[in-house]
Amino acid sequence: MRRSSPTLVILQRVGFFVLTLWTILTISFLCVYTLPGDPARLILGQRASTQTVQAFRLAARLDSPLAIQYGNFLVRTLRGDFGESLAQRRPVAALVRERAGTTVLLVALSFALMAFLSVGLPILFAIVGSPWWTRALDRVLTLFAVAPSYVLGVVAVGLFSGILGWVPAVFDATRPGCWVLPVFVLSIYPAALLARVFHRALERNSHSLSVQRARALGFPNSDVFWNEVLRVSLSAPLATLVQGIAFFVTGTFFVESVFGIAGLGGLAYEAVRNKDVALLVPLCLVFGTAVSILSVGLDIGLRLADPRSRSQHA
Amino acid sequence: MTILLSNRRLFLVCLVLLSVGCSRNTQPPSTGPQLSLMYNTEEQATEKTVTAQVIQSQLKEKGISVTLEPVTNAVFYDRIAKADYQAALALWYVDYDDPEGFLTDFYSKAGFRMAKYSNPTYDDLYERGLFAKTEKEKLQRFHEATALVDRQLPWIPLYSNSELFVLRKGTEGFVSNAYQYYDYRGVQKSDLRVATDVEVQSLDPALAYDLASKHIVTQSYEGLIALAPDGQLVPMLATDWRIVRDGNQIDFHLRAGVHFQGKWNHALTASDVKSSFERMLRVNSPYAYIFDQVEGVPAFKEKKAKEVSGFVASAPGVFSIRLSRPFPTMMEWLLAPAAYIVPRETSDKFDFTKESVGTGPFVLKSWDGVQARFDANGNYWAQAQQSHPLPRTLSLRVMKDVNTQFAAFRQGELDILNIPLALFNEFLEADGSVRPSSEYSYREVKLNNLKFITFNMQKAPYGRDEALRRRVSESLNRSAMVKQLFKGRAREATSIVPPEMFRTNR
Repeated sequence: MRRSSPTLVILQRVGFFVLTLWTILTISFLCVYTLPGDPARLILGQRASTQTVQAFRLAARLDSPLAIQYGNFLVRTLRGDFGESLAQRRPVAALVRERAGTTVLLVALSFALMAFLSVGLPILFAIVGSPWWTRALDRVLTLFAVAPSYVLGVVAVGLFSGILGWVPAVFDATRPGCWVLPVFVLSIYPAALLARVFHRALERNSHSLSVQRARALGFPNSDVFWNEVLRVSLSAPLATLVQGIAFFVTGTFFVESVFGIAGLGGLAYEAVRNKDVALLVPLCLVFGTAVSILSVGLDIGLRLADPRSRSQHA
Repeated sequence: MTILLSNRRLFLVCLVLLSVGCSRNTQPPSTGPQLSLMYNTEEQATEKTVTAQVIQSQLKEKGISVTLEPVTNAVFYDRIAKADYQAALALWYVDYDDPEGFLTDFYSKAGFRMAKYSNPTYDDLYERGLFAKTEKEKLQRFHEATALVDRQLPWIPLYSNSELFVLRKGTEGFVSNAYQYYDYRGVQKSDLRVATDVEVQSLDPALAYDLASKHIVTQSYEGLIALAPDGQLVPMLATDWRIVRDGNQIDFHLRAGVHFQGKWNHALTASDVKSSFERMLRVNSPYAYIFDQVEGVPAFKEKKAKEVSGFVASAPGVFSIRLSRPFPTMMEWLLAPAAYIVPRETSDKFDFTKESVGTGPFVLKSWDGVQARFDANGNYWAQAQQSHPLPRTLSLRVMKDVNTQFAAFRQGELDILNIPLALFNEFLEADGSVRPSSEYSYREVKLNNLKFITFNMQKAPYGRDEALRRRVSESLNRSAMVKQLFKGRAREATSIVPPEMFRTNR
């Protein structure tokens, strides 16, 4: 394989990233603007006079042709100006800034819990040498994973807050106890899927030819496990994760709504309900960018983890 | 297990199964034309879905076959705007105590018009009511207009529901009225926590249109007048008012000693009232129509005038509204939060989520998109008139999920719960009586709202045929509906205007 220069590779990657963002922006713009419903009427309600609705449309430039609105939006976005929410009439950038922290923390904590449950624990059990525990973990996680996050969220609130009273029902970001349920609900479904994939990969790879060869050559068991079993097994769950990243984004919509968390997911839900186009398109862009960055990051992780995808080994 | 049963999805599934099971037994042949009923699944989803299913099964028994069309909020209003529907299940609520609020949809020059009803006789009655010389004459004309619509049935009224509150000990001083204004000034408990079940759109009084925004805005801001729980117009920032010049002018005397909260901490004057009303018109408020009969407003809206000549600040303590013709409904329209008063310094783009600047009992400390925290206003003008101090803090939180609301109330994290339909089983017996408790009390407040079926009057066969619509109306068993859905905590509606709104004792 001919190796291209590092600068060219970086340029390619950056170019691809910009192209991805532009695609997200364009597609979300088209989707949002062609949705049924007149944002002016949805926001102003049934009682507003035709004159007021017309003045609102004029102020928000909803009447200009789609191509011109798209052009304006593109230019403004390039300048870093996201404009103003139609319904809340506040700058989109301020709204996103106020709400992003909570969502980032929610996703990060859920991600950590998911990684611990699906990869951390099985490794721990493998080191301790207890396959029974791995199987038990797998069963328990599968049990939770049958319920989608919105059902699980509702049941969890009812059980742990309503009946048992262990955690507060009212979310307060400054109380650590409040984070337990939302993080659990958001992470449990992907954790179960991942644990399953990882578990199978572990089992398959512990009997592979290279493992048998290494054992025959007399390498110690722990070396064989770290180098031949674990590294190879990690690539499968990572690949699943790259595909499943979007799950976290949509998951926040339900979880934030059920638990009453002031985050971006809830903001997006409100924007959809009102067809607040001026807020919805930038939000799609924010979510899209976050998902792309995470995917690219994981993709690099995948290359580092799997010896087969490293060119120097070839 | 009770909590699982109150889960709205399970509840719905049970109801669907029940209605399917019941309708199997009696299936008369379908006679009338098929009726297609659309409803909004993003607005009071449980109630809408169950009501639609009850309508479907009741009409089926009488041989009318109904197809249900659940759609999202945006699609619902889009199809109504484009007259692309046959019939829809809808909700109408108003912010002021005036029959006009229910009659506007049938006026052919109105803005939205769900039913697309058009009738010159009706238009004439409506206009004669709107521009009547006296309150009595206004109600008389509106009564005639109502009777006409009730006869022709562009809307089939179903019921008006109630709000049923559970009040923890120490919150009995809470007051609310038939138009969902919530007043916490009289609550004894010092740290009060309450909730709303819908999202908040804006904290700008001029833009507050949805119930949740109104709930928050009315804690920090006040209008010239207010509506007492008994339906009387009572003084607020105006101590009294007089209708002069043959009904062409209203003079308000402003209360002395009222100061604004926040950074513009000055006394209320007539120029604050004038600038608040002009600001409301400038920012494209949903309520911009309420001043359409005020002298000089058309010119102001078309940006031909810098100020509204009909808003007159003749002295610091006297504010007058000059009307282009007698317009008795002006007083009721001033009850809308959009007509609440902000200081004259408030710019059109002022950020109301960071601080509050009104004259009201509570000062906004923070708003994160889900929770509003307030402190008592230490300089509140009405404090001296109260028997005990205001609650020290007030927390108002958006809780969309009914299970979260229930869990929060049980855990004592919520002091007042407005019981959602899906939780009726938790607090009410099968016959609708409340389950007594030593920790809390109940209060039912009858709302002057309306749940109804609207027809698209431009669409045959139902929209074109009064007899068909009458048959639908007469086939409905409203009393069973109210018992089945609300355990009796609602009133059957036989008119499009709740009869309470025709009181003449004002």
